[in-house]
Amino acid sequence: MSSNREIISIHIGQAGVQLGNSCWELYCLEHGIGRDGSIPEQRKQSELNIGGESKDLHTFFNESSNGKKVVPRAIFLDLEPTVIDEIKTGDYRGLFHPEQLITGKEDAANNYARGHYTVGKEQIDICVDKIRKLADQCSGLQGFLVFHSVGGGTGSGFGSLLLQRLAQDYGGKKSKLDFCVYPSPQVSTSVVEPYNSVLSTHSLLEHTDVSFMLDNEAIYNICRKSLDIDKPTYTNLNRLVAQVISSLTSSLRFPGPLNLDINDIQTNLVPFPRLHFVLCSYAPVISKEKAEHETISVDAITNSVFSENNIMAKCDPVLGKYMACCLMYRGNIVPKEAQKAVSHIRTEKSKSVVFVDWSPTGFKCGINSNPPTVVPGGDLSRVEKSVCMLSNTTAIGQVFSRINHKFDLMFLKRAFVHWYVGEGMEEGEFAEAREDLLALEKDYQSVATDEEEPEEAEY
Amino acid sequence: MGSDYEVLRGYVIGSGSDSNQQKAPEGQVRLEITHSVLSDDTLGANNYKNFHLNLTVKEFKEKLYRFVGTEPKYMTLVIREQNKITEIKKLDDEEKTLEQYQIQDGLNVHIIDNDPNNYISELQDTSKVEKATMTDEEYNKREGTYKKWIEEQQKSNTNTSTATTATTSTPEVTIKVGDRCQVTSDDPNNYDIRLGTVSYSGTTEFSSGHWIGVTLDLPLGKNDGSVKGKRYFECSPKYGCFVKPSNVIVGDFPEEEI
Repeated sequence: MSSNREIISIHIGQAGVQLGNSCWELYCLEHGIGRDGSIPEQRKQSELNIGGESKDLHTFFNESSNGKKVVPRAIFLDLEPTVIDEIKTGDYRGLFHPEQLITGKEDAANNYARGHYTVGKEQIDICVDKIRKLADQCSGLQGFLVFHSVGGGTGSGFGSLLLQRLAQDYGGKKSKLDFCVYPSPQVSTSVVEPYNSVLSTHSLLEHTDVSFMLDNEAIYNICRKSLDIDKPTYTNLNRLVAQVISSLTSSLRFPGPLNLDINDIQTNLVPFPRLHFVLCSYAPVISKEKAEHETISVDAITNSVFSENNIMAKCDPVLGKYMACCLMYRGNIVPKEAQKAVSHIRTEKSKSVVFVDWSPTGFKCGINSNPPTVVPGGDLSRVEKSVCMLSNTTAIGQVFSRINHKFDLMFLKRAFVHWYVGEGMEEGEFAEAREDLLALEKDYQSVATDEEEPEEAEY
Repeated sequence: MGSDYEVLRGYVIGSGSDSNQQKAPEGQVRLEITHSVLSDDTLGANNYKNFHLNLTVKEFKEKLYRFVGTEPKYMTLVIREQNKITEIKKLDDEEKTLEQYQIQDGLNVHIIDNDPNNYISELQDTSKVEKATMTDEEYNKREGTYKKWIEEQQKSNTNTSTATTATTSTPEVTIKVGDRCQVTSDDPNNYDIRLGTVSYSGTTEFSSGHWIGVTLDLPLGKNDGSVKGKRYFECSPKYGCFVKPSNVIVGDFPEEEI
């Protein structure tokens, strides 16, 4: 039993819940279980069943006592009911237990202070309690995956409140991995996004171990340009992100020759606790023309994850230095192929993929034998190989710098600050968060510049 | 080939519950919010939200205010087709509910901002404020920073190995922007006599220490005044170069001509 490595997923606010829908849809397909959590007969006889037990399911699902059904080890929370109501009426309504779907009556009105203080306060104990119950059912809890946006009210405010509580209750022993949707550079969904993002990031700096950065504009562009989808919907975006999240956790669920677990990922990616904001990219997403003419080789997919066009947050990686980089391969790939692809990157991209000299690991590779996708409808058509890259690079500083700049513009005019003060927040919290983020920008700059480079006489 | 690509694409666009086509729960309506200042339609903000049908237009505006910041009195609401172009109706009766307006799922509510002071658009133009940065002094004072951490690391390293590159003393630099100068090279194969004008003097992001940027009279340099994406001065490509102060001789050199 102690070989179990369970993970609890927590989905907060509209973005977190919708991302959750796509993730659980994919997990069900990957594990061959029904939309209501039922375990089909044929699965029971398949190779996944080792000694009568469904080993692969334990990471993400609880098995019911009669062994006929599984329930996701997850909590969905939103301060207002409309988004979670969709799950209750949707295709996967039978998958979740009503206890797991927590809603309040009053929304956060897009306000960090409401999510964190006034409205959030009423829900936090219920939420922490339900997480405790899930944790108690685990024999080897590895950690938490938390999904939320930083631009809205619930995701940012309640999300950071919950992460604080998890840090208190579970200490440093359980990893807290955070999938956070950051504001897009050009598309605002709300005017106070910069405030919510800065306040929320201030809290994430302290209370999460790894934050995976996503922004809808970048993912939208991947769908449009690389996957050739004319008008991508949120569902398209979320399904693509679900592939990344699935790759990240596949090593906990399926066997492989070079499996990385959550702790491996964390220790390899984060050399210094504050600098834990990680970029993700995924392939096979390549241009349509290429897809038609080329066999998708390990080299080709490895190359494409380093491209700016495949990164799920808008920033230019060439302008940064890498502190760490994990390549998580999936499918029928032997370690030798992966090593060859990485050495190509080292030689051919030595100008654009630059590591800081103190980076202890450079590239870290994981290989999981389980091929990624099963297409809905039951056809066993699978992507044969894929790669997900996680990189800790100073280029991410661009994202923070952009948000900080927008924050300043608004805060100088004290625009909408009264909405926050009205919920009991002090103005000082804005200034404190802002300073922390300025220091973060400076941290990234220091990493990028502060080093003993080979002395070049002329530039 | 590319079958892997096709399979992935198939998955991402595959059928199943699509939030844009799926119906909102009973008693609610799903609308995509756009705003005349905040969102550019062509980028596909995809900003869907569910609203209760029993909201009056007045209450609806109050809710939207918290998203977009436009005061309700300056809002005109237009319901448009999913294409976000074709107008269906204006919501101008504050007392009517969304239900009475018979608004269907998947439509677009476009908020037109009529604020005479253009408050929201003022808040979007970051070129109006200079990007703030933290000074080295403030940064060095802070605890828990990367710098403090790396210094700790280096300290524990230097305890075991011999002292590495400590701060190299910075000699007084007397070279000024605008000075005429000759640039010498450490490269023994470089025989060019390069004359130019000092255009930058100070620290840079590409390397540590003090650097002098020179606009050369002839295209014998390496750049256009920018290095690694950061601009220090303006000149034509190949006319710019950066060297250490020790490679610059200031003097009353005549301008070279081709």
